[in-house]
Amino acid sequence: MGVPERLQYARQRAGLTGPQVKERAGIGESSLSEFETGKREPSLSQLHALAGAYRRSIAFFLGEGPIPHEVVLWRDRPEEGSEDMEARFLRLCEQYHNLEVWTHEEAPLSLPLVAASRDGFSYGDAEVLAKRVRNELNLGDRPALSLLTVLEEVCGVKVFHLPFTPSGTGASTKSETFGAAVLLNSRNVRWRRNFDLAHELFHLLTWDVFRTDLQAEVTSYSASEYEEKLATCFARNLLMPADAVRVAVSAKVKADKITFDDMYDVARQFDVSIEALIWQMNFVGLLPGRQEETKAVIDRAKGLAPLLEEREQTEPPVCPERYKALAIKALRHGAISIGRFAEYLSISRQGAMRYVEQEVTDDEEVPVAPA
Amino acid sequence: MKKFRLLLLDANVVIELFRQGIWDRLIEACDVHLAQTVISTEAHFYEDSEGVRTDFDLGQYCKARKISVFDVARSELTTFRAQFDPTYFEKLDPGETESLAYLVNSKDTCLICSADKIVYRVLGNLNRGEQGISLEEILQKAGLGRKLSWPFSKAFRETWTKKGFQERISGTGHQRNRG
Repeated sequence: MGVPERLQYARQRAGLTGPQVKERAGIGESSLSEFETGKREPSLSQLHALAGAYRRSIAFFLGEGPIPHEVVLWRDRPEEGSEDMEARFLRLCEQYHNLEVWTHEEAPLSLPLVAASRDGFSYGDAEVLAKRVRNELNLGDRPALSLLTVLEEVCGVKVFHLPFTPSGTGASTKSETFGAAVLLNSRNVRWRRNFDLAHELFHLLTWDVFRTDLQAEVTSYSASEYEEKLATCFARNLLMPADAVRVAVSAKVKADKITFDDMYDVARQFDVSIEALIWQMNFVGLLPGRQEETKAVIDRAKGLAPLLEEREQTEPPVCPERYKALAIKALRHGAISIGRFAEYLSISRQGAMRYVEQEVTDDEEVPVAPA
Repeated sequence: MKKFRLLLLDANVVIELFRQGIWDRLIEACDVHLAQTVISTEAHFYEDSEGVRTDFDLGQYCKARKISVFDVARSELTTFRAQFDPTYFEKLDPGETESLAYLVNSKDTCLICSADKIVYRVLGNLNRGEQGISLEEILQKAGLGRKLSWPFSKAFRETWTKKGFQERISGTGHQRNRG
C-alpha cells in the first residue's frame, strides 16, 4: 500500500471528513483529494500535519507492505468520536511499543493461555478461569489492589486512561505489532476501573477463542451480549474470590445482618464498587434473594453513597508509569528527540528540554550476585 | 559578511535564542534556514524559569526575508530514507527530519545546529559529523558568547556525534541493512 492509499485509510479510520481535516490540519479538500489519489505528493510538513490529525506516525505513511490488521473491541462504544478515540488509543499503543524497542525493554505478552471452544464456553468456565488467573498471577485475596501493576509490569499489557462518554465503557486490542492493550475511562472512579480492567482482561485472555473469524475489513467490534456477560462473571470472580468475600462479610455480620456502612467497608477492602460487591454476595449465597431483590439492595446502597463512600479518587494519568520511565530512558540515551519526547508525554517542548538540561551522567554500574 | 552560510537550526535552538533575547542579533550575523515544520508547528513560544509563556512569530521574519524557509518533498526524503531505518522518522522531530534530509540532498555544505542527541548521532552515523555545530560554537564565533546549558554546548555535540560515529563503525547504528 502506497502513501495515497495509506492517507485515505488513515483518514477513514479516524472517521474524519474533508472539512474536519481542513480544520485540524489546515489542508484544503482539493489538496487532500490530490494527495489521496496520488495526483500530487504531500511535502513532509503537510504529511506531519496530516499525521497529527489522523493520530498516526509519519512512518506509517512511508511504510511498506500491507497495513497491520488492528481491531479495537469496545464495551459500550462511545456514541460520538469513537473512531478518533480508537485512533488515539492505537497511537498510544504504538508509541509505547516504540519506546520499548528503542530502549531494548520489550516486554513480551505473558498471560495464561486459554484453550477453549467458543461454543461451549460457560459461566462455570469463566469462574474457573478467574481462579486460575488469580493463582497464576499471584493476585492474592484482594486482587484489585495489584491487578493493574501486575498486568503492566509482569504481563506486558499496556493500559491507558482517557476520558470518554458514556461512562462505564472500556476497550481492548491485541496486535502482532504491539501486543495487548486496554483502554479505560479516566472519568470513572478507581474501583469501577478495576472492574473494567478485569472485564477487558477476559477479552484479552479469550481473544483467540472468540475472535477467530474476524474479517480483514473489521477494525472496530463489539462482543456479543453473552460474551460480555462471561467477561463480567470473570471480573467479579477474579476481583472478589468467593471464600475471601465470605470471610470479609462474616466478620461484619451481627445477628444475621450486615449494615450498608459495613458493606461499603468490604467494598473498600476489595477496591470494587458497592454494586459489584452486592452482586457477588448474591452469587456466593451471602445475600439470598431473587435478582429484583438484589437490585433493590443495590439501589438503596447507591443512594447512600454520598454518606458512606469515603474512598479518595484521583484521576489517573493517560499513560502508565512504565511508559514515562521508558520515554525518559530513551531521551537520556539519545534514542528520541526532545520534540518527540514532549509529544509522547503530552508536555511542552521546554518542559521536555528540562529533562535534558538537568540530567546527570549516571552510567555507573554496581556488581550484583547471580540470581 | 555573515559568519555562517546555510545554517540550519532545530526548534529547540530557535526557542533558546528567543529565550536568551539574541534571536535578532543571531540572524543578522548568520544566514539562517529553517524547515517549514519548525516555523509552522514547532517553534512558537518560549517559557521562562517560572513557566510564563512568551509567544513569537517566525512568519514575520520569513516575510521580511530575514530567514529562509525550506520544505522537503516526500520524494526528496528518498536519499535520507534509503540510508536509515524508517523508525528514524518517528524518533526525530519532523523539523529535524526535514533539516537532515535537506542537508543530505543539498549540494552546498550546510551546518546543522541542534540540542538533540539523536541529531548528532545521525550525523555521526552518516559520517557527516563536521556538519554539526553547537549553539555555543555559533555564538562564540558571532561574538554573542554566553553561558548555555549542556544540550547547547560543544561538548554535548562532540559526545553524541562520536557515539553515532562509533555506531557506524560497529554496525550498531540505524543504517539500513544493505545485505
